Amino acid sequence: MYGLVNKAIQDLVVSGHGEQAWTNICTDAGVDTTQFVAMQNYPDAITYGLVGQVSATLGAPPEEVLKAFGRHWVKFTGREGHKDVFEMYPKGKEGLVSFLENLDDMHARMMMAMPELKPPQIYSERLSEDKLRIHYVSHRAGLGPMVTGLLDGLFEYFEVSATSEHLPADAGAGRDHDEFLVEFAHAG
Amino acid sequence: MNSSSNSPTPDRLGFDAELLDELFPFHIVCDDRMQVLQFGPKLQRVVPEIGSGLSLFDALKILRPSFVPDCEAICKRQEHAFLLESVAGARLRGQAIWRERERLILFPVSPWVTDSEEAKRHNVSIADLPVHDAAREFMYIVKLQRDAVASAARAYDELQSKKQEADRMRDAAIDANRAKSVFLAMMSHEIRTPLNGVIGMLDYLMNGRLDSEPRDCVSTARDSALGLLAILNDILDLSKLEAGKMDVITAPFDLIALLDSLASLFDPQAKAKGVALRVEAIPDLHPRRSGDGNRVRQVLVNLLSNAVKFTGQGEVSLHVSTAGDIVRFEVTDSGIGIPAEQAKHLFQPFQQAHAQHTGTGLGLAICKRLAVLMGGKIEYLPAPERGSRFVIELPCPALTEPLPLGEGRAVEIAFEGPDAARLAALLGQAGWSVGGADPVIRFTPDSTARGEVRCIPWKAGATPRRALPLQPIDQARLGKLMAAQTGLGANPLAESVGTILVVDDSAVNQRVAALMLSRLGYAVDLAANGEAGVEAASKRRYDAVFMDMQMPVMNGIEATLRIRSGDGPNRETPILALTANAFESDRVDCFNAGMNSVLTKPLQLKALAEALAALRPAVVHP
Repeated sequence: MYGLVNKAIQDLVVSGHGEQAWTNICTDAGVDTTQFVAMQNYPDAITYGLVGQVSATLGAPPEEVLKAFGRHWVKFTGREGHKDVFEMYPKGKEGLVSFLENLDDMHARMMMAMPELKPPQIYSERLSEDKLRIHYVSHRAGLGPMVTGLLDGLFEYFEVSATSEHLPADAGAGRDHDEFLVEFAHAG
Repeated sequence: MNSSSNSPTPDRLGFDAELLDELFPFHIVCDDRMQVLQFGPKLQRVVPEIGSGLSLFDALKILRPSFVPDCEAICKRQEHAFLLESVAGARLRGQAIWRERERLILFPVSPWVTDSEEAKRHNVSIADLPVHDAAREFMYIVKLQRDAVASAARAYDELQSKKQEADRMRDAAIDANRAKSVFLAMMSHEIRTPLNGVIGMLDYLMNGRLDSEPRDCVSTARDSALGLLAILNDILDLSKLEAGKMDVITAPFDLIALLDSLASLFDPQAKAKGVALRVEAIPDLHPRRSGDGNRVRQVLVNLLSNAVKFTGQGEVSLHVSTAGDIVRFEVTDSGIGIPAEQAKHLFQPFQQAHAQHTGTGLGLAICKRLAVLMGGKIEYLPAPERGSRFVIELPCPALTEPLPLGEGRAVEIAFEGPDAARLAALLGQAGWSVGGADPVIRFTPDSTARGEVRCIPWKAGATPRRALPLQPIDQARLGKLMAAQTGLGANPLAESVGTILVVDDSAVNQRVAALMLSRLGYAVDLAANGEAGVEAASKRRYDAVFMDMQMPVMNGIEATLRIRSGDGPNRETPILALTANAFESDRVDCFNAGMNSVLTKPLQLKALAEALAALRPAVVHP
C-alpha cells in the first residue's frame, strides 16, 4: 500500500496516544522505521502488521482499529493535501451521494497516475431516495470494518445523518462480494 | 486482421473510417451485445486475442469502472474513465461512447504504459501513439514521479541515518558532560580538602598569641593560601560556567546589606591607598530583592577589587539605581583605565587589561558569564575623563516584605540631611515609626570624632556608648548596635557555651573545626562518618551539628535525613553542611534534606562565627 495509508495510521495513533506509543508500535511490529514516504509503495504486510500491533498494544479488537482508521482516513486525507477532492462536492446528502457515485472513477484516475495503486472496486447503486447499496470488491481480505469507518467519516464530513450496514459476501445469500447498505435519516 | 478499412461498419458509424484509424489506432467498436465489430490497425499488436465477431470480454476485462458486466451498465458510466486489461496484462485506457442510432459502443482507447520496459513488453512504441494522445506525456510524468518518490525515500533514509548518528553523539556528549561534572566535583573536593586544613590552621594560628615575626609569617602564608583558594575558585567557577553546570538561584536577599558589606570590605583597602570609596544608592532603593545575592556579590567584589587595585588616587564609586525590576550597578574609578585595544577582549578568559599586573585574567570572564546567567548584562564604558566604568544590569525585582525589626516601635533621628533621610527610609522599611511618640531609640550626631558626622543609636534615657559611622550606613552593624544598646532582639555579644557535634571523616577537618569551635567557646564531640553521627545525635542534645557531605559508610545527606526523621533529641537541632563542593545543586540537596545552612570548605573562623550567629536564637555564641 502507498505510504500515505501508513502515515494515516501513524496520525491516528499519535493524535490519541502520542509519539512514543507510535514508536513502540513500530518497534513491536518489526517495522524498522517510524516515518513513511507518502507516495512510495510499501508491502501490504507492513500495513497489516501495524494494524495488528495497534490492536495488541491498545487492547482493542482489530475490527475496532480498522473502523477507527477508516473514520480517521477522511479527516487525514482532507488535511494532507487532498482537501480539494472533498470540496468538489457540496455538504449534504446529494453531495455525499455524488461523492460515492464518483469514487470508483476517482480510483480509476488515481490508478493511472499511480501505477502500483490497487484500490478496491466500489460501485454505488441508488435503491431509493434514502437508500444506497454500495458494492465493494477488494483483493485485500478483511477490510470491511474499515469501509464502515470510512462511511462514518464521510457522514460526518458531509454532515448527514445516516447509518450503514455491512453485509459480508455470502454465497448462500447470493452475494459474491461485500455490500454496504446506507440509509439516510428522514429530514424533519 | 479486421480493420476498419475492410469493416462493414463505416456507414453504421457515420464518420470517416480512415480518420478514426488515424486518431485512435487502438480503438474498438462493439455492438450492443458486446461483440467486436472492428478495431484499430495497431490494436492486435497489443491485444492479439482481439478479433471481429468475438466478444470483447474474450480478449479484455474491464478494470474500471467496476461492475459493468454488459452494454447497459457500460452506457450508464460514459462519464467515467475506462481501463481495460488483456489476458497478457496489457492495459488500455479511454472511454466508452454509446451511439444510440447505430446501437454501437465506441471505445477510443490507447495503451496505458508507464515506462519504456512495459511499452516494449506489449509491442508499443511512442511512435504508435497519435500526437494528440496524452499517454506520451504520461510516461514522462510517471517517470518523474517515480524519480521524485525514490529521491524522497533516499532523503528520508539519509535523515534517519543522520538522526541515529546525532543520537549517538548526543549520548556521547551526555556521558562526557557527566564525566566532566564528576571531574569538577572531584577536583573541587580533592583540592579544597587539604586547602581547608592549610587555611584553617593558619586562621587558627592568626587568632592565637604570636609574636610579631611569626605572626607576619603566618599572615603571609595565610594570604598566599587564600590567594590560591581564590584562583582555584575562579578556575572552578569558569569551568562550571562553560560546562553549563553553574546554576543561579532566585531567593530573597538584602541589597542594602550587600552594599554595606562591600563598603566594609573595601573601605580599609581604599583608605590605605588614599583613595575615596563611595558606595551609594538612590534614596528609595527597596532593599529586599529577588535574585542570587551571592552571585551579585561575587560580580561586584570582582569589579570593586579591580577598581581599587588599579586606582592610585582619586575615587572608586559604586552607584546603584533601578529601572523597574532591573538593578543597575555602576562601578567607576579614576584609575589607569583600559587601553581601547584591550577593552575589546576584556571579557574573554585569560585576558589581562594590563600585562604588568598579576592575576589569572578570569575575573571579568566570570563576571560576564554570571551576569548573562542571571539574565542581565555587563559592559565596559570608558569613564568620562579618566579611569574605567563598568555597568551591570541585573533583573532583581523588589520584594515588598519588610525587614522585621521595629514592629511599630518609635525611633528619633535628631539630625537632618540626606543621610538622615536614608536612615529614616531603612528604619521605616524595617517597621520602625520614625518621629513617633516615646521613641525607643534616638540617633544623634557626633561631630567630634575626626570631623566625621556619625550617628549614635542609644536607648532613650541611657548614656550613649558606641557610635556608628554614617558614611556608609552599615545596616548589619546598625542592627547589631541597636540590639546591643537596647537589648532588643538577641544580644550577639551574650556569652554562652554549648556543645557541637562535628561529623567528618577527615581527621584534619575534624581538628580544624574543633579548634575553631573551641576558640568560640564550644565543646566539641566528633564522629567519623554519618552513621556514627546519627548514633551520637541519638544519645544527647547538641546546640548544633556540623555535617560533612562526602563520607564513607553513610554520607551527610543520609545522616541528616535519619536525624530529622527520627525521634531523637536533635530532630530540631540546627545542622550545618560542611562541603568542599560549591555546586548549587549540592546546596539544594542540603536544604532539601533538612539542613539549615551550608558552609564551604576551607573553613574560616569568621564565616563559622557568622554562620552560628545567623542561627540565633536557636544557637547563641560568644
